[in-house]
Amino acid sequence: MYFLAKKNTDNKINPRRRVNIVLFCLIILFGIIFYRLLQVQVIDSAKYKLAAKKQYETKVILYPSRGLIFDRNMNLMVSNSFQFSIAADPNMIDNKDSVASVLASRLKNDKQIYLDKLNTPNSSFVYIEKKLMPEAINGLDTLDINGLIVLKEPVRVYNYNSLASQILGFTNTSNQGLSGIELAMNKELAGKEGYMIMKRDGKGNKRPDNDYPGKDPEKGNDLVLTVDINIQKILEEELSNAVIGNNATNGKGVILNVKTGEVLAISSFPTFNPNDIKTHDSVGMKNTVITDIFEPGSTYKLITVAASLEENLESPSSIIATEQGQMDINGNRITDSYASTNMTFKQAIENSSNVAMMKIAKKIGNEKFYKYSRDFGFGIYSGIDLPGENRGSLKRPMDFSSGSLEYMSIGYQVAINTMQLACAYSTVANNGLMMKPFVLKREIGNDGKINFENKPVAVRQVISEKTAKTLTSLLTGVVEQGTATDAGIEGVRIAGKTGTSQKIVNGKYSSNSHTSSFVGYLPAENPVLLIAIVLDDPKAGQYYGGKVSAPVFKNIAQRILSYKNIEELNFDSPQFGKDDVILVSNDKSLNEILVPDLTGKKLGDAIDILNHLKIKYELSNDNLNNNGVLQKIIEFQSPAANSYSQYNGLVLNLTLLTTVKPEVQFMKVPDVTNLSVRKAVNLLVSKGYKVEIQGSGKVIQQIPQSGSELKNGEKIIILCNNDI
Amino acid sequence: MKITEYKIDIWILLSVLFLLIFSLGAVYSSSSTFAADKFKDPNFMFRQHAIKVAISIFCIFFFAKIDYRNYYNWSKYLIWGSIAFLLAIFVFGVTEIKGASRWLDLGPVSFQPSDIAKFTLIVYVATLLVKKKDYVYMLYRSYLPILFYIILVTALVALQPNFSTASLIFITSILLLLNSPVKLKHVFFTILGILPFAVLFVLSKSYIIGRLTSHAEYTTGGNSNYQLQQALIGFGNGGTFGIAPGNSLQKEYFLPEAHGDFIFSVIGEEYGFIGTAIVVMLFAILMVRGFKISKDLNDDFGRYLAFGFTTILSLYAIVNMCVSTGLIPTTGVPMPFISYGGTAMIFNSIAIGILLNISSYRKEDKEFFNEELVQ
Repeated sequence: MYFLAKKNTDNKINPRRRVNIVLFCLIILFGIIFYRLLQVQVIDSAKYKLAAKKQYETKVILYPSRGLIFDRNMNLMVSNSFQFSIAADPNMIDNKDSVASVLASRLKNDKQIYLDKLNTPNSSFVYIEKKLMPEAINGLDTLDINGLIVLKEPVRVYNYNSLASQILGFTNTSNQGLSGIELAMNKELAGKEGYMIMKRDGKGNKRPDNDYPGKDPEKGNDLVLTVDINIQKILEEELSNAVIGNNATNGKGVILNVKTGEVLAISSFPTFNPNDIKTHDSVGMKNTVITDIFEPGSTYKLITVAASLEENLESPSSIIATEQGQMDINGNRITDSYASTNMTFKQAIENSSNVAMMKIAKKIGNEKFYKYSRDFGFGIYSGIDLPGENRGSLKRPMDFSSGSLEYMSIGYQVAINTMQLACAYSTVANNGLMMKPFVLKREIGNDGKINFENKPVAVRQVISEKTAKTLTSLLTGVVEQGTATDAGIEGVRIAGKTGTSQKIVNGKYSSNSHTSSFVGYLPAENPVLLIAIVLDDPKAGQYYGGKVSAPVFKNIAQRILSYKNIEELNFDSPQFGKDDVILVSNDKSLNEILVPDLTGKKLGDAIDILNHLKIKYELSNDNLNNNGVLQKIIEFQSPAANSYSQYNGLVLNLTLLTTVKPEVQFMKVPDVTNLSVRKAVNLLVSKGYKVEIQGSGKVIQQIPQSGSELKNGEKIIILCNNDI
Repeated sequence: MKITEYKIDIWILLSVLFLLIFSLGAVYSSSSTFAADKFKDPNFMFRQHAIKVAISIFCIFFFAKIDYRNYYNWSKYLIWGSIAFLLAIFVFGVTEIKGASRWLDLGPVSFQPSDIAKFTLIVYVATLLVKKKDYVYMLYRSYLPILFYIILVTALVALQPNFSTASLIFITSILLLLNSPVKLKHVFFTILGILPFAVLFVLSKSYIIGRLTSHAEYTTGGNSNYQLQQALIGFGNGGTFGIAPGNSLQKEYFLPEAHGDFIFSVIGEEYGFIGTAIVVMLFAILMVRGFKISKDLNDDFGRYLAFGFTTILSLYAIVNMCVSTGLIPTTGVPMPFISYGGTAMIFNSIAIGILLNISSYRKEDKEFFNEELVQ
């Protein structure tokens, strides 16, 4: 036995000391572990508790249902449903064959198609089917198949498919409006998101946590439009017939209630179906009534005629020498289709004489002609509550070249949209008082109460009532014995005007490409209904507005009259009392200019803008010593931005803020609340601060607050909110 | 031959019993969700564990009664048996994740031969050191034969591959040699010679590099080590006093296989800093008392055994706790007496039983050897 051996007393080492060394080392390791635990569990515990809370609880957003949209007679135009997309993670599916069988039986499709999709290599996400209606998935969403993902997405249902689609617009897959009313009223329609706190385990299984109260989503507000779907349907049918029949590229139509500015129908053909968006629909998605501009031709003679009557330059019986229907402007010969030596003012309108109009315009003069053009709403936004309007272009008198006046008097060198055209004639029909066009009638809140009722808004008295009545009677002649006899309807007096303009093709006016228009209203004795029709490039032979567009007007008017009596034509429109009139005086509009907003801009940029607009300026506070100057920006301007100011003698005074290379200094923080982000950042940066932006839109709060002392180079946080 | 029996070391006994009892709660809590999902029975793993705890406690008392000096004579069979098991792995081993096969399946029981080999190697090295004590400083007659067994066992374990266990076995063996009269020079050159092999081995195993880099990323603020992050969230969320036993949320799949190598985190979450501090204390007591037994013995064989067993158990505990708390890169080392892991717990308990038996022959019995000599 080993222990019988003699103990080795010669052993020089002391093993016990070595044990102590190992013990000491290991004790230190225990100490380190102890300290680490103290650090994680006691000192830094809060940090980990937060991380834990984050991963145990998830906030599940509850999406509200979007508001409904009705027409003026409470026909439901847009409602909501759900659609399902089915996807799979092929890696997660164990038995692909049986899953494919389930899919095939539920979705009523060939099993092999699904099997192929489930066997997609190197993919962890494959769409099985997209955008299926609830009834098409046969309860597939209730099955719990590992690796199969059923996505439930809210979807808008447009009950009349393409009807009024350009007014209504459409939404994206996350149900946000992208065009039309859906875009313009997105915030109101969207409602408010709710939420629910869920407890979650590491596998992602969620269950509601009763300790935390959730918040129910708030349904979006419902909208009622001024549109009448019956009239909209009539307009769309007739317009599409006209576009196809005349082989035109595009047709635009507007129907207004002249007394209120309510839009009864807007159509642009070709159109699209918002229930079935395809990329090649992008042409049809445009509401060309407001987005497309064109040179109107003879319909614009309204301005010439109205100005000469209002300024007492002509009367219906005045004789005008029409020079055998020929006149040279800058070497270009302009001819009348109805040539004569003399004709009365009335005949000149009925026959749409170019020569007469150019001669009358000479009497009116550049500045008055511009004033009436603008007062009738050309070159400025019609103000319709739909997104995407192009206001066209109207030359200012100082930009007129030789011949501009003559060309403009017959509807060239001016670009307008169809809505502007309709509103101008509507103004005449409404005794010279211009109404703002609108499609949104009212907004109904969640509780059923009316949140908002759109009242008719008068923009301005453009011409006197007397002039307007004279104009209407003259325009009646156009339909009864002038260029627009095809618009006439037995038993109804109609006022209207045709227009046929040559389109510019390859930089030159083309004799075989036209824009053909007709605007008319009825009944002439007390006008209620206005219809404007514009056909783009009719190529089936006829191209005169009187031959192409006037019949469309007639068909539409007849069908509307068989739907409603003339007495009923005012529909249930709100009575328009004197108190409701919001008159915007516009007497000084001549030679006025909208002052541009230059504050916050760099000096160089501002000067570029002013040079472009031919506005003179002077600089205040300019540091002429450019040493160490980083940038100069406009701090204030006078007159203020977005106000109208007389162009003549306007000198914009710009107060400069010069930024020099920062030296460390304490400064009072300026107040940037209520400024736009761009302005706020420019201002703060010019003072040498760094800026952190949270959110977008308008600054609602700044940290630190204004007036506090802060070293330059320090950071200022601005909190912004675009709910202005 | 009469042997005076002294009282066994009550500190070690109580510490280990406390840890074993504690493991029942920890495993129950940390395995129930996993077991419910995998075995359709939340108590399945707990029952398995409870059986092994019972066996472990029995083993402690059983081996405490067996005279440790018997192992001196049995050690040759023990070491060759262990080596045979280690070799058998390469033929019959049950392959686990990542291609490592560490388990032997012998019908009703399956076990990791390395769990036995780590103790039998210590026993055999101790035996050799005693056998060759008169010429232990000699390189060819003593040092190299001892080193042969150490390298053989370490290499077989490393090739499973189980690099962390191999490292701990090797480190323990080297520490054991340092506590014997072998020449320091020999040990020094052994370490110098083994280093290149260790580096080569690490470089050849991509998963080790992956763990090292992911730990480096973690320490520099990255988050590639999901398991460690979840472990720390568990510790931190427990705070000072814990969120009450059985209430761990981390175990619900945030912390993968929480009942295994990362069970310390669940303890930290449920029992807080108080709980983890107690566990650290218990292992510290075990270590201090184990080394004290080693120091107090006059018998070299017992001294080496006590030192070796205490060292390897302490190292396992330390490495496990360091991994769970992110102090060192992740490696698969279970927590002795706590982790769910089957047979390792039983072998560890056998080692404790032996240690307790050794503790009853301490130097208070100064005349023990003289008595024997007299007889």
